[in-house]
Amino acid sequence: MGKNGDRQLDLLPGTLYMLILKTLARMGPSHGYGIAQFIKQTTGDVLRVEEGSLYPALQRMLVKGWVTAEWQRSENNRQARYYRLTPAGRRQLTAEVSDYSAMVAAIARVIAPVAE
Amino acid sequence: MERLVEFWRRVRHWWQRDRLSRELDAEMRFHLEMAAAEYRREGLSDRAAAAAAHRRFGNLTWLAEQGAEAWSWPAVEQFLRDIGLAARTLAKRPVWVLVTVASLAFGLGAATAVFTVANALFLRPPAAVSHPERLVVLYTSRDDGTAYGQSSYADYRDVGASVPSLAGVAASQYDAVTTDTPGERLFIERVTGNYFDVMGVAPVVGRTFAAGETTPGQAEAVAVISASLWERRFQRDPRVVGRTARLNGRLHTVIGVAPPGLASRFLSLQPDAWLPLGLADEDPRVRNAILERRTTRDLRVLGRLAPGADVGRVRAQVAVVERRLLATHRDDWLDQDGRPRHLTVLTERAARIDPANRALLITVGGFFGAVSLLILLAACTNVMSLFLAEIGRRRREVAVRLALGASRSRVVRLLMTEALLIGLAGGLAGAILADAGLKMLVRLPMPFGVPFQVDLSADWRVLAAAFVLAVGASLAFALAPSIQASRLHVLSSLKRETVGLVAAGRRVSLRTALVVAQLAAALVLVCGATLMTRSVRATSDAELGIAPDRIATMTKRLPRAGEGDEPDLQFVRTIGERLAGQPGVAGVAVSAGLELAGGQIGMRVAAEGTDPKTARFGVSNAVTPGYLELLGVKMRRGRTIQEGDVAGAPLVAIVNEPMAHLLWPSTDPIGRRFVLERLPGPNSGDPRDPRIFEVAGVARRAVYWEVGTDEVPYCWTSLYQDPAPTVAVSLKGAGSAGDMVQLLRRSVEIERDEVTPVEPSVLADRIAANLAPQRLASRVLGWGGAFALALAVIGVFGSVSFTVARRTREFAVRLAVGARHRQILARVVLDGLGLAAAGVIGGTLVAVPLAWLIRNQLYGVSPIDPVSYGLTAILLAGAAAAGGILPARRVLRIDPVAVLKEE
Repeated sequence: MGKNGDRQLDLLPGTLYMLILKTLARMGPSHGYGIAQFIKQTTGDVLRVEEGSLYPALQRMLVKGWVTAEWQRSENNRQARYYRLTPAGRRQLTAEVSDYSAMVAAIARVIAPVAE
Repeated sequence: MERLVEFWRRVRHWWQRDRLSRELDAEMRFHLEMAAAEYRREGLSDRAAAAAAHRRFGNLTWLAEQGAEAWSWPAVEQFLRDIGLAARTLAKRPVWVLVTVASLAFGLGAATAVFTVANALFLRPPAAVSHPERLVVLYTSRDDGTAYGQSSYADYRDVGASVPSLAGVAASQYDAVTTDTPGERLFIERVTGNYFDVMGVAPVVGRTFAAGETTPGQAEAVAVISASLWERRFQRDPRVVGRTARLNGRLHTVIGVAPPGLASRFLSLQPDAWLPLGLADEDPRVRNAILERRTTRDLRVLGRLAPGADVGRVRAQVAVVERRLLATHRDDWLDQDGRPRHLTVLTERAARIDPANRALLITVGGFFGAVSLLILLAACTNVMSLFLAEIGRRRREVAVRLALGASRSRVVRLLMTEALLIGLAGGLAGAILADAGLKMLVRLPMPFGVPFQVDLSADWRVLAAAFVLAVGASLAFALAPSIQASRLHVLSSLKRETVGLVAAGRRVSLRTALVVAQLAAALVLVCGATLMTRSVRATSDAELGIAPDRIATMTKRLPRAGEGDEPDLQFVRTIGERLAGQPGVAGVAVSAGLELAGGQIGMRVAAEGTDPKTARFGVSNAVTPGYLELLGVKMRRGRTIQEGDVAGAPLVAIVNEPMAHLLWPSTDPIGRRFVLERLPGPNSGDPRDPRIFEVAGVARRAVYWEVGTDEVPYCWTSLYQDPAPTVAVSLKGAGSAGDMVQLLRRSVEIERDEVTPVEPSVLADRIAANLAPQRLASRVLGWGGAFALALAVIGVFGSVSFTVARRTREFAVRLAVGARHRQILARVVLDGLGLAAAGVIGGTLVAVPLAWLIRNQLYGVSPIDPVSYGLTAILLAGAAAAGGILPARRVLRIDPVAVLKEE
């Protein structure tokens, strides 16, 4: 049950990468917890993301070279690993957003209310 | 490019994976703490906060694994897992694995060994020689007209002077010398001074011959030794130059060491030393023979092309020399039929397989090649049928895997991985076997008593090829059955339905044919070995014309009597008397040659009064009185050579039975006369006119000359009436022949000027050396047969085990309706015997014509000798039984209830 009482929805498959990339693009370098918080707050806790599943996704993104990571001191003076977008990551983000938008538009055309 | 960078990232990660996995842990714990802190801020207790954070987060362990997996190479890890699984599966079937690997190992091991030998002897360019493609070989045609004979020194000099397209021309001669180690003989080459320059060989220590050191007839006793001799005898002493070695009784000074691997052109045997041609202090006649006598042709000539020249130009210039030799030295230049000789030039490569013996070498090479190909074929068919059998057996397991969801490609991959492991093991075992086999080959007996020094180290390229072949063969043979197995209809396999016909009649499958072929091949080889062995046995027994036991002999060149060419026969008498008086001596005799050990003189004989053109070829031996008795020659009629048969007395001869029958088919030969014409040969001395001899006795038919030649006309003349330049002094002892050898050595001085003194030896050993090629053949065939037999056993094993596995259900049904286990076993055994019978029949059909082809090499044994074939058939049947018994016994363990319950 989400905090606001709205129903929590599962993530659409394949969109996790896009969300993480966009988060990093908007927030700049962040650690995993920060990314999770941002997604939670920005979606008003509607999207149900098992927070831990960010980490395998982040590892996969490291493999593909979309992000790089670095240990730094966090705001409460603890060591945390900060992720940052790479140019390849930016390109991937653009591509994924455009694909997603195209798909949404296509679906919208199907379910659009019938015009008189 | 992207993939490459990504690959690099994975590698880096793998390198630091422990540290990075700890970092991931830390990272996730940080997240958990932050989340827990958040919950605490909202008012939860510490414990509740931690629990809530954890719930929200997920399964730490699983997430960590997922994270790690992002970096792994799925294909590689999958492969490694497959290998582990395959290894475990194979470990459960040790017998099958052993048998298959052994099959591969035998086949490839044999093929590799044979190929290495062929490569070393015939295919490889000579080692340690620079630019061997610029070398050419020169031949003079022989007396009988054949093209590839040796040349004389004088002709060699002419060629060297008149062929500008050759930068250098050298000559060489093979020889065997004794050292001061008793019984040791070294294979050496006697060469002209420029030999090393022409060959393009630089010494590794010291120098090669200097100008003036090697003038024939005046050469100094210097030697260039081989790297092997340097190691064996001088312990690689860096100051070996100046040290001496006693060769043929004479001290030689070492002036240099040749590079390792430098070989002669005789089967690539490596000489142990190179000596100058024609040492000083020799009998002046010997010097003349070397320098001037154009009719003494005993040198091998080779040359190096001048820069820019080619073989065509050399040939043209050599043709000019040939014409000039014909014009200026006509008498010396014509062969025995009055035809002019020819000089032939071949490139080193064309001459690599000695053209004079090309037919023989190709036959021998072909023989070896055929044997190893046979073995390879047998091995391959084995492996193929073993894979078929095994994969057939595992249909049920495959069906279960498919039912559990494995994809077909996964199943095939699993089976192929097992095949890969088998191939690797087989390749490794094959390489080891080949190496061991080569080492054993080096120890085979050589015909001349010299050590067999050829570089037979297995080339790593050949071993690698064998390895690759093993793996390839394995994969190839397993592929089809694997794919077929994966195509099973799941349900039917699970019900253990026998795939394929189970008819009462025999269906000849490919598999069966292969096993029969293997058995047949084994029969051919083993039969050949048996025939050869019996032939060798026969030649060493009573068929020999002499009894060589307790006899030692020594060959010696007779000194010249005074000024003339005639050998000094008084020397013969003196030596005979001197030795006869020694203690322990049962008898002395002197002869031109020795039966079965060489030195005899070729002849042409015709009965008196008949047309000389009908003269037959034969062999004669000039002997002293008492010789025939000493050597144990059995007489049929008449007398032997006696004291009265001296110069001036009527010329007499003892002939053998074949000669008597040939010349006087219907009359008593005693007292008849015949014309004997001496043929030129190594021990013929100067040519002489034909003379008339009278038959005084007849010896029985036996082998006197060479193995297998009991039909050749043979006669003994008196040495005093028919002298020869070189004689053999034979001593028979009351005790062992070894004592006689010592006596000979002590009493008869080995003079320094001998061109070819021969160390005294036991006669029986010398005869054995002549039989060496036959022994070699029988040994090789024996090993080949053993291999093939082992493979045939494996083949039968595979076949029977496959049949039993496949017909298990049928057997279970029979057992259920009342048959007894033993009856089923009897059926299987009978089937196996049927295989064996087919193999024996097939093999015999092939073996008989092959044996007939080599009948000239089989002495005392007919090509269809029943004992040999019978023994072989029994051996083969026994082998088939051995191979089949293990799998057949599985029949006894069939529990009909259990099998049929799996419906």
